[in-house]
Formats: sequence, structure tokens, C-alpha cells
Amino acid sequence: MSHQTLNLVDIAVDAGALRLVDGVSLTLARGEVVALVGASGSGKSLTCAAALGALPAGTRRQGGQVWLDGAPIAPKRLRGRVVASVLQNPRSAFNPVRTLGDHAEETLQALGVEKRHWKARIHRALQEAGLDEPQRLLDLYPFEMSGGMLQRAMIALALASEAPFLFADEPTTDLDVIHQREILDLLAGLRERFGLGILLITHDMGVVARLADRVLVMDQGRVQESAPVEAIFRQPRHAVTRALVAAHLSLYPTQEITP
Amino acid sequence: MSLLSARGVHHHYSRAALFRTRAATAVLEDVSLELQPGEIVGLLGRSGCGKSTLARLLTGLETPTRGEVLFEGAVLSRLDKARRRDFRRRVQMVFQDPQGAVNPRLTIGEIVREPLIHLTELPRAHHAERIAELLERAGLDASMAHRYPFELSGGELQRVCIARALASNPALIVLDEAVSNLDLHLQLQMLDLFATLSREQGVAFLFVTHDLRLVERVCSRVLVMERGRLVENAAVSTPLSLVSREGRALAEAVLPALPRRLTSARERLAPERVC
Repeated sequence: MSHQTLNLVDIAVDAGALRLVDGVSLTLARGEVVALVGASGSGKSLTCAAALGALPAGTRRQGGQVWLDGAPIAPKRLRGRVVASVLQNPRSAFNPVRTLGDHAEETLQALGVEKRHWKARIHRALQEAGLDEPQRLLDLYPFEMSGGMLQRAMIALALASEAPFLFADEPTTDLDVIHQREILDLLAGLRERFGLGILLITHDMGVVARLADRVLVMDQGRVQESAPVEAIFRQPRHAVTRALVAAHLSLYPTQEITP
Repeated sequence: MSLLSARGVHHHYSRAALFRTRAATAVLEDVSLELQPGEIVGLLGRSGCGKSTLARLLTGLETPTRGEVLFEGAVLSRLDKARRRDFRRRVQMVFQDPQGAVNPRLTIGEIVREPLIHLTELPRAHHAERIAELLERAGLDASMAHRYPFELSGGELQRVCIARALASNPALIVLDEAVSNLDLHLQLQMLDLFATLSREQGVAFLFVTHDLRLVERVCSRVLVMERGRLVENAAVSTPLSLVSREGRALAEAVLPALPRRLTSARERLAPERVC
């Protein structure tokens, strides 16, 4: 866990003749939360998928590099070892016919962890993710767990990998407000305790307000604005940012808006 | 007279196992409510509280284990054929997952036309015009009628489902987390559409959600559910103040409007004005 800084440099993704991500660069340091925000289709998920070499069929990375502590690194060496991922829909991220324990073993096997360390590492990760009774949980199938539990389980698997960075793609979008808050509290705690560097992909400015230090606003495949979170809310400069913040604040009719 | 009401509704699902019957899980317990014409009522609760089940009972997709659902005072399960068709026309539902709610082999135009064919007397010659009008009402381009569901984004397809729900000029639309997956500006656009329909055409809405902010924005009344029971029935004011334990828990979990450093700066300036 000694890596300190991750740089995405000039990432570009095409689908056929269409450019979907157009030269996105960002820096993520240990212990910070960077939010990548924008409307659906703005290219935020594709940017991360390209960095991890996990682009969906029909799209191709056309350029860009990822640097780790100042040296280029191949996507497949990044994925799982340096960067763990948490996805939006926990139900589709798990194999429905395999138990949580099977998933945990698969994760550790893929990372080349020695078998004698598996049990301790999985139990610790589950407890860090706020899941008590690890032994009972490991025997459960995904359908026996609620959406909130599955999302915690996905975070636990990310923790078990001991990767220093986490890409969280809409981690709370499919959860109710109570589970949302719990998961965001959990991510905030992991950043504090382990210095996890988190890239948070979201369209929800409430999530940004809760967790982010810095914000990148994407539109049409490009980063249109990049600033500390306070500046994004206080002085949004780009029209897209202003629209996002205004729509968000309109949900808080009693909140004072002018600084 | 109430448009739609529930009286002492209980519901449970018996979980069938191969060799034994597991204990039935109670999903709803003694739920009673009234929906009046033209009002927008929020049904607020966390996941698993039974709100979707209640929505399915109110729209006649399932029949309660005990108790009754009444449409304009008549028990739903005992409506004659003509009244049942009238109920189908006047009470519509939009689900959370649009991909699962449309036939992938039909064009968008055909999807919106289905209720026109089955539930209205509108002559076929007027269908295309009506479909275009409905799509535009839902914020979509009328030319979309020729495309297929897989060509649309989730947000576009959800608005197609909303256009379809509007097709039969319903008196009530039940929205089961129907805007949750849209980008916020589209959510707000749909909420404004619902408010306009309620105001101008007297359409009532039952808005099922876990997000108190949306209830506060569009609803005139809110029902709070906890573990299969209604625990609060309150008029919506700004700011919305709920008194039940569950209502307060849902209010407390609302995401912050501003980053903490901005909020705390403001608290120093005007502590009493910050919620």
C-alpha cells in the first residue's frame, strides 16, 4: 500500500467514428476523494473503464496512459491490485449461483494471495465494511442479501484486495436514503482509516457535497471544469456545473444559497 | 368520494419450499388510505418496507390477502367487466425499471399506441398525432416513435413509459420509484409535468419514493411506511416536518445541500436558518 499518486493522462475512447471520451486527465492522491460528475452519457464511467482496461464491447481506447507514482502502468496491472472497484448495481455485480464466500475466494485467488491468509483477510474486510457475523454471511447467496448488504459486501471485497485506490461508480444510486448515508459514511471512514484514494463517479451533487474534496465536471466526453468542492458549489463557472448545482439546490428550498 | 382507497389491507407472500411450507412473511399489515382526485400523495419509506407491494395492490396487479381496495367506492376484485376496463383506463402505473416494462420488439410508437388501442375509442387515423403529442409532453422528440427500446437511454425509455401512462387520460398514475434513475434535471422536469397535469387536468399521483426531497417538492400529502404499516399521514409544508420515528430517520438521512465547510461557515453567520 505504498503507492501515493495515480494519474490518468489524456484518456480517449471511441465507439466507431464517435468520440465518447476526449482527452480526460485527472490526478488522484491517497487519502483524497475526487468526484467525477456529469449527466448520463457524459463519459464519466467510460473514462474509468478505459483506465482499468475494462471497456464495454463496441468501444475502444484511442489514447492516453495511466501513471502510478510517476511511472506508466498497464491497465491489467492496475485492476484489482492498485485500484479496486465498486459498481452501481450490486445485484448484477455478483454471480447469483455463487455464495459471497465463493466470490471472496475468487478475488483473493486472482490476486495471488496465499490460501492460509484467506480466512483472516476476508473476515477482517467484512468487519471493516460493517458486516458482522462474517462466517454466516459467507454462506449466503446474493438473493439472500439486501441491496445495502450487497453493496457493503462489494466494498468488503475491494478492501480484501488491499488496493490503495478505489473507483466507486455510482455506489449509492440504487440504494434508499438510509443505506446511502451508511455507505457514504463507510467510504468516508475508510478514507480516514486507511488513506484510501477514492474516485467517486456520481450524478448526485448531494453525494459530492457529502464526500468529495475535489470535483471534475464532465460533459460531452470532456472535463469542463475542475475545482475544489467548495468552489464548485460557491462559484460554479461552467454552464454545465451551474445547471447541476442549481438543480441540486432547488431540492433544498429552505437552504440559504448566496454566500 | 375517494378515487381509490384501501381498507384494512393485509398482504403476505407464502414462500413455497419443495417439501415444507415456510412461514408466510407479512408484507403489509392493516393498511388503510384514501386518495382524492387531483392530489399528489407521496408514499415514503426505505427499501423493503412494502411500498411497492402496496402500489401493486392499489393498481390491481395483485389482490390483498385480507382487506379491500376500492375504486370510486366499489371493491376492485368485484368490478364487472365494463367497470374493470374503466379502472384499467383510469389508473395507470409506471415502474422503476423501464427495460422490464416494454416489449423490446415494438417501436416506441407502438409501445405508446397500445393503451390507445385497448383502452380508448380514439380512431386509428388520430393515433400518430396523439403519440407525437404524448412523447413531446414527456420531453421527448416525436421522431423517436420510429426507434426501438435498445436505441434509447434508460432515461429516455422511462419517459416513454410515462408517455404511455398518460395515453389513456388516467385519473391516477402510480409512480413506483419511476424517476429515481433519471438525472436530476430530468427528475425535476418530470415532477413539473406531474404538477402541471395535477393542476390543469386534475390527474392524481401516488408518488412512491425513499427521497424526502422529492416529496417536499411536489406532493401535497405524504404517507410514511415502516415495516408494512403506515406510520404517518401528514400534509406537506416547507420545510417538511415529520413526527414519526421512521419519518424523522428518513429526513435525517437526506444528503447535504452543501459541502460541510460551506455549511459550517453559514452556521456561524445565521445558525437558525440552516436546516
